[in-house]
Amino acid sequence: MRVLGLSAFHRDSAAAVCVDGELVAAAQEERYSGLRAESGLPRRSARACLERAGLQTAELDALVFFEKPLRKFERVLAAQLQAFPHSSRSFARGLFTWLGDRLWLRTRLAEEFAVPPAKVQFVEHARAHAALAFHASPFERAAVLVVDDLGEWASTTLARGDGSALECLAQTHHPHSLGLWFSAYTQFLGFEPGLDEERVEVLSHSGAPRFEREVGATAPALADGAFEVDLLRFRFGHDAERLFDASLEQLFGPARQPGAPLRATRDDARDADLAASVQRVLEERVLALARELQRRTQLDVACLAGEVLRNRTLLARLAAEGPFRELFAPPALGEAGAAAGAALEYSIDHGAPRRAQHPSLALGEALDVAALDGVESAAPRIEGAAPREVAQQLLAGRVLAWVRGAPELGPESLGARLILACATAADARERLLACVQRADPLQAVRVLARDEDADEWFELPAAARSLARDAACTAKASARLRELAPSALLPGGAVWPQLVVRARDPELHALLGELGRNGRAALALCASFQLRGQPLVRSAAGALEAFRRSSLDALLVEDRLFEAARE
Amino acid sequence: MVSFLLALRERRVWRDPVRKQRTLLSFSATEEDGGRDLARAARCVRDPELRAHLERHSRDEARHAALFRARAAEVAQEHGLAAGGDDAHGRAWDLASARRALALEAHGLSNSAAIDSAGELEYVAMLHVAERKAAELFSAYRDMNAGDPATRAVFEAILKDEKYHVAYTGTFLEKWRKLGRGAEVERALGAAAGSRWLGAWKRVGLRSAAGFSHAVLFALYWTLLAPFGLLARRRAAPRGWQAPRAGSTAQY
Repeated sequence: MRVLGLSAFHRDSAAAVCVDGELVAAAQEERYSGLRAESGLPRRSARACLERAGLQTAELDALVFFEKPLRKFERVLAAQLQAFPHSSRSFARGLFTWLGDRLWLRTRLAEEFAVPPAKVQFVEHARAHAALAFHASPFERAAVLVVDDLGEWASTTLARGDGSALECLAQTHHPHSLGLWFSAYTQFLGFEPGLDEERVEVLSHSGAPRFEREVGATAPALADGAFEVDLLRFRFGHDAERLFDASLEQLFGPARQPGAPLRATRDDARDADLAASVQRVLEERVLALARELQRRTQLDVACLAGEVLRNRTLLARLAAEGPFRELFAPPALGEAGAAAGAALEYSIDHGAPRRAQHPSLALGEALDVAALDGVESAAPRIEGAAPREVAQQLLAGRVLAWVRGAPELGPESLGARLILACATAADARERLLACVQRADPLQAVRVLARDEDADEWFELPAAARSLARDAACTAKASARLRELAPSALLPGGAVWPQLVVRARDPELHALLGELGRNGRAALALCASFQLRGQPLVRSAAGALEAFRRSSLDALLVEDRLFEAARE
Repeated sequence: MVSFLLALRERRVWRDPVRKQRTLLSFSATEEDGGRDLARAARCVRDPELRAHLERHSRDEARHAALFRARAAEVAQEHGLAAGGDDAHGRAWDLASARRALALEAHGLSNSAAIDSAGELEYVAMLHVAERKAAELFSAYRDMNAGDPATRAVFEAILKDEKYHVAYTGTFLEKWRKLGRGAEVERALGAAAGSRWLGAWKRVGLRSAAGFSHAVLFALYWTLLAPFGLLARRRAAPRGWQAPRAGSTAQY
């Protein structure tokens, strides 16, 4: 069974190909269009996926979209009507798009991809998320928690996976959405909703949750683990430009304007404290959801999905205080992953076997190193010694980009597109980010460590161990790490760890081994290789272009080394 | 008058960093797709000299795509632009699919490459018309970007190639004229120019229809939907746990 899964029209459009229950290709459209979080139809990524899978569209058994358009239209229409008479402008704008385009999605997809309309199928949004989380997990049976912002109706889903069966147990419906609620506060704090939630999370580490009661009242918990959103404070239904109501400003003072100074100093920590309060309330609500899920399923392992669960501090708390013995989160928790989930769900639901999936979903277009042939005269080849070369560069205090193989699906690169610095330099974090024009106090960087050394560097609860292998949670730094790599610390002493398993990424593991020789710390700081406001680097030529526009000291593309002086 | 209005509109596009970035990206996409189409055409044509030109043309287009993309990235950084929002894609799908014939050629994602539906002569005539128009437009855009040397330099560099593209396609058309295929050449040039006019006419029609539709929907909201809106306001959104629907692969 050959299935092409697509996600589009929200953010992070993507395509994925599943053959007989195994994901064989997956790519994100933003890396082709150059627009971060691209939401258009993923034509180019679909082509790249088919190319990688060696398929023509005529050979597909199904083309599966990650959402049910008619059900979503029902929700949009209901929300517009409920907001009457404040929704006149958004009604005309929204309905025009729906009546002119989205309602005819089956026809459009059939024509765009030259497949018969009968082959175009639809999977519920929450099911697509849940399917990737469960079917990509190592568990045969697991509870599944999806906490998202928007889909058709469902914003939160409790589910149970058992072999090839995925059963949805309960859902909360729009407009009661923790994702939209968090995004509304993201916007209140002057950041871009839907994109900058991570910055609010990082900011929360600098504050104290002194507004917890007031913030909690805007999303009160219900008795059975569910929650609701105070709809008088938010405008989710009809106004995409401002998600919060003016009454929120009566509670917390004026909203921060984008670009205005952040109130996060000792004298005035309103913004940091508000971020900490929102983060705390989010954690409490999700912990309640997790307990309810465990009560309903009686299982002790859980798979996680949805945009909200990209929050690493939240996952750390869920691992430490939640009811599950082990947690699994796929590398692409958000909308991009839902394309892969839709393809997997359809395949397995139609008889394909459940198989082990690529652990980091590095299933994009193969790296076209040959594209560098014309420009590589000055670049020496590093034959079979890339980890040693990278280690030498880092130990010499240089910051380097390392590009290998196919890019991963998801917001972060776990190995294929990294920028690296030596963790022990006092200004390592600042230098690393400044090199790619992303100098920003609210940008976190990862601490790479070998899986077997985890206890030496981090205080990780057992349930967080597998999350840390996918860099999906924060952790408390050990005293030695705090002393050795102070620049990696978030305020409050937490860090963002990524544990490298030898079997999964022998080269990155070998790099850490090289760094750890002669009693040195086997640690590195890293971030995904992307310039400010740009998507992750995709191709070899793109890597060279980004390198030339950065202030990185060196770029290693497979075995070809480019150094800034020579460039 | 029309060209004056168009020039006015284009100037506004190039002054607005958001629209400038998107326009550069759309040029990049068009050049990339065009390059792919040309590469396929190069594999299909019989004349080795034409093949060599098409291959070089294909490489040029790929390079242009990279130049446009890089400049778009710089503009985004200079002005702190970030995400590709939904608005850009919220247009009627007829508009979005107007580029379908050029959008995807490999793996059956579009009906076929342009060379498949046209002969060599028709294909070269189409290229000639398109490149001539592109040279005119890029020349105008270069002048409109007098205050932005980096963008101006991109158009300057690309214009040199466009001149070569117009020249080699013109040489081939001339060669076929001398071989007694003059009528065929004129017919193909006419068809290519006509299809451009038809495309422009369709775009004007679609934009007018979009404006009209917005007005009609706005009127509907305050008339037909008003009673339903008042009723819906009384109905509270469902809170707490809801039973999920059974899984299916239908649209609803």
